[in-house]
Amino acid sequence: MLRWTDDNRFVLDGTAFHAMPPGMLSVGADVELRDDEFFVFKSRDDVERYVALFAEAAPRRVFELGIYGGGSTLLFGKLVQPGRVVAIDRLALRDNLAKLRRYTEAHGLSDVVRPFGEVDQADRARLAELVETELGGGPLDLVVDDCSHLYEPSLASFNELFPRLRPGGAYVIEDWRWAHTPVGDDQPEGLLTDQVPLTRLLFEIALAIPGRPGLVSDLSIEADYAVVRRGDLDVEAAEFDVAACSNPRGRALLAEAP
Amino acid sequence: MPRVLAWTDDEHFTIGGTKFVAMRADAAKPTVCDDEFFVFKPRPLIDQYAALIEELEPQHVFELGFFAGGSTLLFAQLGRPRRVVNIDWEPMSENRAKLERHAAATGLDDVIRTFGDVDQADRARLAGIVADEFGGGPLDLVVDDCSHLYEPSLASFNELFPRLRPGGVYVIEDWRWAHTPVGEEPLEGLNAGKVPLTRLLFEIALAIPGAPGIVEEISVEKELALVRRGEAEVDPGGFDLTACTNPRGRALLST
Repeated sequence: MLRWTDDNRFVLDGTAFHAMPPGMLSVGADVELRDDEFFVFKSRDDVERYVALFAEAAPRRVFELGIYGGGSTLLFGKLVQPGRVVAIDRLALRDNLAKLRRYTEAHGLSDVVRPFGEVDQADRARLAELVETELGGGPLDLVVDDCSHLYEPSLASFNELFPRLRPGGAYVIEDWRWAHTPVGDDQPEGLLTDQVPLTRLLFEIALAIPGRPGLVSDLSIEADYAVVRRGDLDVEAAEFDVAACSNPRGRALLAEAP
Repeated sequence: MPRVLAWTDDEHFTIGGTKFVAMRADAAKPTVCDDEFFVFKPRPLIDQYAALIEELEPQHVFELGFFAGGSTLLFAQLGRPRRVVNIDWEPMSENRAKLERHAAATGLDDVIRTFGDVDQADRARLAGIVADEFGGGPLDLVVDDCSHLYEPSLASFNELFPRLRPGGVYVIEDWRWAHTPVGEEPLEGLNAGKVPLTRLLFEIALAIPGAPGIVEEISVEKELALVRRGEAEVDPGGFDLTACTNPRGRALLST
């Protein structure tokens, strides 16, 4: 199946991918992409984790938020067959999407990989419409949010898509920790100092475990991502707000959002 | 080879020749005979522990909270650890005597060590017990099913979590007592006026980026939270989880 050709490059079913090299974010290492390669904005470990997740759970209806180079969308498309991956991005990403579409058309994958540019992850109505038109109304098996990483739009996507997961389905929130630096670091404030940390969304999800029993079965937080597992409680997606899934005592644990 | 846990029905199981009674699904008080040991956990949770023990193969287990002693015996029998230590704030004399009799009769008297009258907030006492009973070696599994209050649970976490080996697991049971389902009475949950134990879970999550490598992962479920130890070395003596985040992390939590 997947074969690593060097530390950051791999081949899957004849297609070449380039994973994120270590230090790319912190030291700005450059990636030189060949024309036939797709860039996956994830580390080698993350790529392997997703491959394992697909092998274990065999998701067939996948919603990805954040496209960037299109590499992860194509990777998911290869792994999801005979299912479908719908991916959105706020940017038009014309060149990247054109390259992705050329590839999927040439390889008979245009029905499997469905990318949409210029879709805001906070636009709940648009996300709902895409689930209806592209994924048969759901339920979804896997959602991967690797998009804005901001609290409010990530909350909006979670509210719209998490209820549409099947029981046992997984919602992955990547890169949640940008507001937090190691204690003793010379930048104690982290990134985006005027924004609510995405961490708040994780805390609200944890509070929903007792606040809406059966909605969330398990929240697992690691340094690079959090995985939220869907319980079997039926919830109406249109009305859903995870931030309201706790009584006052739970909400009082969190500082008021600015 | 680990011994096998065999259920006879949803509330009864055996390991080797020892009989256990689990918590009933309706939480009603079960009947426990003289030759049985009560485990204050329901069947799914016991199965979860069995899977965790199979994965970790823990040699050194530290359990906080004794009650009837059934879970202490469960940990001692299931994983075949070298030592299981249990502490409780109460003397628990009668239940401890029953457990010790059984341990002696089944060759586990050198494995199980129970200590009554130990406050889980007494860090020096916990450190002394670790030094005496585990020879200073790292812990593989800690189970906190004790006061369930924030301050004493934090004290135990500060003292014991750094002593886990990389990959070792710290379990925090019954963290959700402050929270009731939305739309149901009562709104306030238990222990009004006390800091919810939930705060400890949030502080653990904040330590993941704040003190890289100490906490590998926290997994929160309804009945418990599992915290996996990372590889960073840390001196238990001075460890304070609440200092493992910068001001912006602390600002997420109410004061």
